[in-house]
Amino acid sequence: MQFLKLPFLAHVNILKYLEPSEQLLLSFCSLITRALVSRMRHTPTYSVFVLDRPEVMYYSLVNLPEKEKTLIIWTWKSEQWGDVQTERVKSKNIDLECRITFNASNTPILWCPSEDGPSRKRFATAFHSHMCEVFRVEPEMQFKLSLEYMNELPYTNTVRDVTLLDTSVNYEVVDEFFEKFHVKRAVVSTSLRDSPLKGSFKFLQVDNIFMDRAYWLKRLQFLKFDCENLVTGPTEIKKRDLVAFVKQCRWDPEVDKLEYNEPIYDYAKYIVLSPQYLKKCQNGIVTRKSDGLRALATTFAGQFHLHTNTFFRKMQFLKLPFLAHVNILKYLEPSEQLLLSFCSLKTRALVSRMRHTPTYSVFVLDRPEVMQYSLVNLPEKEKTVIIWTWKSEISAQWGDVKTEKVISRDIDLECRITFNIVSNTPILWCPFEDGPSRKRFATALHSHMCEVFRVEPEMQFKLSLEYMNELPYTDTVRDVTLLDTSVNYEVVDEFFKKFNVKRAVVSLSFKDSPLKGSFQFLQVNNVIMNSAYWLKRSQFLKFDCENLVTGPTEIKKRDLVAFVKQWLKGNKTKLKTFHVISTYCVDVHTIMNKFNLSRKSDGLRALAATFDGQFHFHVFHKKNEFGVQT
Amino acid sequence: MSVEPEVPIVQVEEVRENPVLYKIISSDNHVFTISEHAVKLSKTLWDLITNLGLTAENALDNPIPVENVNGKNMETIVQFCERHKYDEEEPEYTNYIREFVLPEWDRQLLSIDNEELFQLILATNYLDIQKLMDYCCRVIGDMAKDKTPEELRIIYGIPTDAEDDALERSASDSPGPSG
Repeated sequence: MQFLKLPFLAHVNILKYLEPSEQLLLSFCSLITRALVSRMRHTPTYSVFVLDRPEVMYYSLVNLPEKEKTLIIWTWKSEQWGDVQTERVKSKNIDLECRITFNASNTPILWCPSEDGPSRKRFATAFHSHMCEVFRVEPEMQFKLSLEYMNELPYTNTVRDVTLLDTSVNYEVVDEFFEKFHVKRAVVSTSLRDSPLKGSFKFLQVDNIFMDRAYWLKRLQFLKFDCENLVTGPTEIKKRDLVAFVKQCRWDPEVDKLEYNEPIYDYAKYIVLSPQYLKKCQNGIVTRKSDGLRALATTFAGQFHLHTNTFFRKMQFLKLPFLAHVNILKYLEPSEQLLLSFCSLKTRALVSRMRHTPTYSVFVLDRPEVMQYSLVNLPEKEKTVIIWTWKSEISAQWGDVKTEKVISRDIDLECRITFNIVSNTPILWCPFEDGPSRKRFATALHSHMCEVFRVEPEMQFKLSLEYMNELPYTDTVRDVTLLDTSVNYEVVDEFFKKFNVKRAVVSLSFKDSPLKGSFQFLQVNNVIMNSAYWLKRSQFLKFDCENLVTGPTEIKKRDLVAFVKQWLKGNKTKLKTFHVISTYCVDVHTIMNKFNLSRKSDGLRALAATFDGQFHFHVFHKKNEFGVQT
Repeated sequence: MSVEPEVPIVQVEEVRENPVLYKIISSDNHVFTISEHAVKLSKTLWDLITNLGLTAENALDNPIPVENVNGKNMETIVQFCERHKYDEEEPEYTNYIREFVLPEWDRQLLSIDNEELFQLILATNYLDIQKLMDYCCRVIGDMAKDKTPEELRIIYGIPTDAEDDALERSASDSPGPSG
């Protein structure tokens, strides 16, 4: 076999089937094989020296942090291999006499017991150079070690990432390590026992610090951190320590810190960017007076997250082209567009420039001290855009959630804002003290919606009438939906005197309806009732609407006959459709036999139909092109 | 150690049946090659190629200078176009299309800081690449989820009205170019 005389394509193909450790041993064969291996395409990667037990060093390649794959192992333990022959490992800067065996995972182990400390360090250093030159390993070293083996580390001044394992040494050794090596990127502590970092002040200036757990971390040390990213697992840090940290945090506005790329993505992405975490957390903004730098503080389930806005600083949303604005707003829910329109007059103008389908809105008041504002695409299919509440337990419930100002042309409100966990609908926690200011806000919000989102100016309400006084200022309403309520007909009459209902009143009341006894609503053009067992003859015969549709009633045949008789006499001039479900048997033939459903006064004709307890009466008001009433 | 060429060239893989490649030079003189199918995703570039009359024979000899896009953004754009060159046309989106899931590969590609994303959108707008514009905007749209107006101001860099007023005042107070 003359391996070296094989064509290049064959070499490429053969090396493709070799594990990195096999390629490595091949590169040790001669300078020609070294050159051959180095000509192959190697993905640049980082390496890590692992020193987690005495007298053994691992050299691994790292594709993902904490997911390194061991390439080779060398040990200076006393010989255990009897007759295994030694051989020379030679390359440009390497010259090592050792025995070579393979472990269960086929990783080569070099046994070199006769080497002394400095020669071991030389070997480790030379080996890394070999890896850089032949395998395109990045020159910056990385270590993962128990600090008692620190003296075995190769010669270097700078290290990229360091992972500190359990160790029995104290903070002085830690300080010595950080004096000797300049850690360029991150220190990761996976120490489960009492960490040697406890008491050390040298590592506090490393740019990125990640600690599995830090129960040992005390206020004094905590407040001295001066890093870009600090992520710790469980600690015993108290609220006052966090407050003190935020207060004295020396952000440098000239340096872009806390960007969510490496190494946050490498080491802490699951902690700091978990969508579930962000969804449920409480947010607040802290602003530094000296330079206006702002930071976002979030808390959730014992986690505290502080993020300076330097990450956000350079996004110039308003300077994006119009097409981008259109595209971005397309992806925003109406409630998100609404909050964006509250940011400034410019964003308000931006949102209002978008294409909004004209739609109606509805104020929903179905429980005490909460109002919802919804957009209606289909009746009874409204989608809530925003909720506001003036519940008194605000401060107790929301602790440290900061208030913020919601400002627009007619709106100026200081409130706390949270989001419904399921629907993401924003909830404004308002300190409204009096009814008029609540009414003013509701009215101003509707104006805002009309101007910015092309919501139709006519309001709609869906309410339990006991909350009637919370409704915004208006005289006319398009549709009103009445929910279960405990008020009586006087309140209903008051409502219909106060508001001119232009289109429909819908009663969804299942209990005793307050409509029972009210005569003010009988003139509304369209009356739709889920159920109306309470409806009595006297009230029934007084309806003067265009369309009346009811669910189950106890209307009797003679009541229906009287109703039709009224129509035949020329009353109920507006009537178009009358549909009622009666618990009594209704027979259309009785009515048909009694009447010719054609009215003498104006010649209008009607159609009556019954089916399964339902009575349907339809008046033909218009004539079609053939002169037939429809 | 391999020697880096003076001007880095981003190579792309091209299928055998369509070997037509075009060269693009970014504003900072990085040279990119891009396949015909991929370059068609950019209306601006494809119009330019058509108007210049570039063909399979002369395409590589006539690099197209793109003054408004730097190498970093162009690299992202070339990667994106190559990735999506054989995609079928997507249906017209309707409003509120949160249910559309951004593919993981694209999410990774667009996991860049806000400044870069801003610049990439400007580049995408200039090159008229509808799909990339959609994806970038989706990423920005996602940032608004569960954010209060104050947080939106921070995330999107939106000045408050007071800041806007102050900015305008200082602009009107400062002397013009003539002094």
